[in-house]
Amino acid sequence: MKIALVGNPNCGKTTLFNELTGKNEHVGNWAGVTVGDKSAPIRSKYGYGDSIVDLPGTYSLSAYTADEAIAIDIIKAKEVDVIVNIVDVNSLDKGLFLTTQLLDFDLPVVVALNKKDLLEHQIIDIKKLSRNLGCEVVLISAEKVQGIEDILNVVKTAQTKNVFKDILDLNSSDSRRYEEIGKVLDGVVLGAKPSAYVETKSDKADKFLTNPLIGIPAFILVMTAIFHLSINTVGAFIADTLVGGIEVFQEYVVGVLENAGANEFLTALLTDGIIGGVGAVVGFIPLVMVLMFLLSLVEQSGFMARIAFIFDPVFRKIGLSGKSIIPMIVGYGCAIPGVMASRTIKDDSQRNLTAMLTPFVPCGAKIPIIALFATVFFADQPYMFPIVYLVSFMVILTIGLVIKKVTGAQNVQNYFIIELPTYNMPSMKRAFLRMMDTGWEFVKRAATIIIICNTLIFMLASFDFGLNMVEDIDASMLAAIATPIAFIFLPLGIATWQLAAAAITGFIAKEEVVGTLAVVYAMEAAINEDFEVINAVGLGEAMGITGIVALSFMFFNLFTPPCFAALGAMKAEMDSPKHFRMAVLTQFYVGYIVSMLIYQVGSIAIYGTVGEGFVAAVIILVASIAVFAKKVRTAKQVHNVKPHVVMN
Amino acid sequence: MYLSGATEKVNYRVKAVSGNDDIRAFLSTLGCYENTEIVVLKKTRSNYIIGINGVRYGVDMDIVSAIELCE
Repeated sequence: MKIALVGNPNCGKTTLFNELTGKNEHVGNWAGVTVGDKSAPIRSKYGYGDSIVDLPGTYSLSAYTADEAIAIDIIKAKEVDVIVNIVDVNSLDKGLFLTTQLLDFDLPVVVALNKKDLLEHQIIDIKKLSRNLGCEVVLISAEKVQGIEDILNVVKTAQTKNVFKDILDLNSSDSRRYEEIGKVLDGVVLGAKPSAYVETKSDKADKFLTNPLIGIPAFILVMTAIFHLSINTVGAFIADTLVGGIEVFQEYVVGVLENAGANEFLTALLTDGIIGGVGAVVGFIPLVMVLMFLLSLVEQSGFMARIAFIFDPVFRKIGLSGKSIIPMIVGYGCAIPGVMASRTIKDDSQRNLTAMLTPFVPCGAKIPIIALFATVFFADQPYMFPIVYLVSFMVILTIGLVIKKVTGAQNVQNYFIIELPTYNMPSMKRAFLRMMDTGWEFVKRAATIIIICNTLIFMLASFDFGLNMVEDIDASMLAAIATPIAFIFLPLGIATWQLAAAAITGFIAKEEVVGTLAVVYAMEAAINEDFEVINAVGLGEAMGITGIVALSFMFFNLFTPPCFAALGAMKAEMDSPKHFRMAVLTQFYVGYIVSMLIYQVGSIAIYGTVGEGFVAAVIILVASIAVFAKKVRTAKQVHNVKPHVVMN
Repeated sequence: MYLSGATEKVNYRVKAVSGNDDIRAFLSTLGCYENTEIVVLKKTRSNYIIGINGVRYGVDMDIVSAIELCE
């Protein structure tokens, strides 16, 4: 039996899905966390044989956005045997709107009234509601794991009598439907519903947190605290133990292989190439895990929806809306779900732009890059992480503004609306599970793609094209392949083949930038037992670059296109291959220009001298400004102030 | 009177919803159509928090100017 979980956004479908299946899908306290269908078998605790499909939330069976269309298509195609309709018990009218539409299909429907733990002063007459709706109704709390078995007990024998058959159909007006819902709820909700507005705790909190003068500083403060805890203190402490373990393991393997008289090259490949290279990446996992734990707490609180609300006026200036903030917040963890979250945006041009801008937010895979360079070159700058994220935000706004000017997309009438959920006390268990899930994903990538890449890089760095082992790494295949490419990076100050090779492997997986640097600069591990970069000065010297070059290289890797998997997600979410190609080119261009400006301006400002490739940089900059000016002129002539109306 | 003229935390009834078809249909789905109750919970210079059917929504000024209230 296939059971579909259907309901409004943020009604608790994924929480129930995770409980029933034992999965750990992303849960957040805002509308639009789930944007694709996910299915899994029910775990043995609740019985065998059935599977559950979690669908994106929808307010009705009329699709407004791509994620809603996924849910509606599956329901209409009747690809499931039973519908479990999750309804937030605290907003019955809105939830039952969808219920009355679902009852119009010839599928058994079970209504699960969720969040009973948040029901304050009212009592629901379940039997009466069940009678009025003509289907089984159970009262549950997915969060507190209450009433879950009740759903499964009634699902198998669920029979639905469409009591609205002669009254409503899918063409009925919304007011007519709400009128019937009013009748259904008559005498069902016990405990008087106040006739006048009553201020809730969430409303009181919103007085402050939705005020931009308080909300934005609060957001910056929270994020700074999160970065501090995950990068400088708690995460660093855990990384300490892990790196110590990796080093002990590495030494143990070296000892075993030497005693066994193993081939010298194979020993080096295994210990330096694989364990050293992968270890350099794995050593950063605790930082990412702690970051995800803390971010999960904030996501569950309901604060993120307020952030979208506060930033709506800011994003409006670049032709987007507050809805574009959500994909970027999701993108903190991984760019792929972040880009996918852009499908909650209805307007094509806004969705395209959001999908393109989201990877500019440094994802978890880029944290090792930031952590490595921040520690080696900017050890005395404790706020390097917040600064990097702030720069990312500024770049997003600048690029958005430039694209708005170039495309002439002005005078946008946006119609932004976002549900502001009740503030919740975050679940430590859920945050822990999210953290472990992130760690596991990182380990899986390290055990697959990172190992493969590092092995390949080590081989290329060890042999020349005649397959002779090289004494000097500069004579290797890797150096020969990367050197011509490095020439392109001259105006960025990163024209060494080692950095070019690292940047290229970053397109496979961003963590691999650190893995490749570990191999080409023969770092045994990026950080030692005391969470200090091994011989920080030595590493800096080995790389032969200044702090400004390091900054340039770091931002190049942060702002150029994301990994191939994220590019695949971008392609899927954009409305045409042409726009996708333009987006990727723009990302390359942004990474290149930002990096070039940091290097050239930084060289003059700090060292009082122009950087390498200064003339080329000036030509690129002048050409860019000329092209921009021409595009803006053209856009003004073409669009000539015709209002563009979108609804998000 | 439009939503911008409403006093915070006072219940009003919707007189009409204008704007494009999409937004009118979407608001209607949420229960915001003629003669339904609506309350402005908070006003800021660039957006409002409103309550429809006991649910809070953040809306921009385009939506604010699309909702007309009974006097």
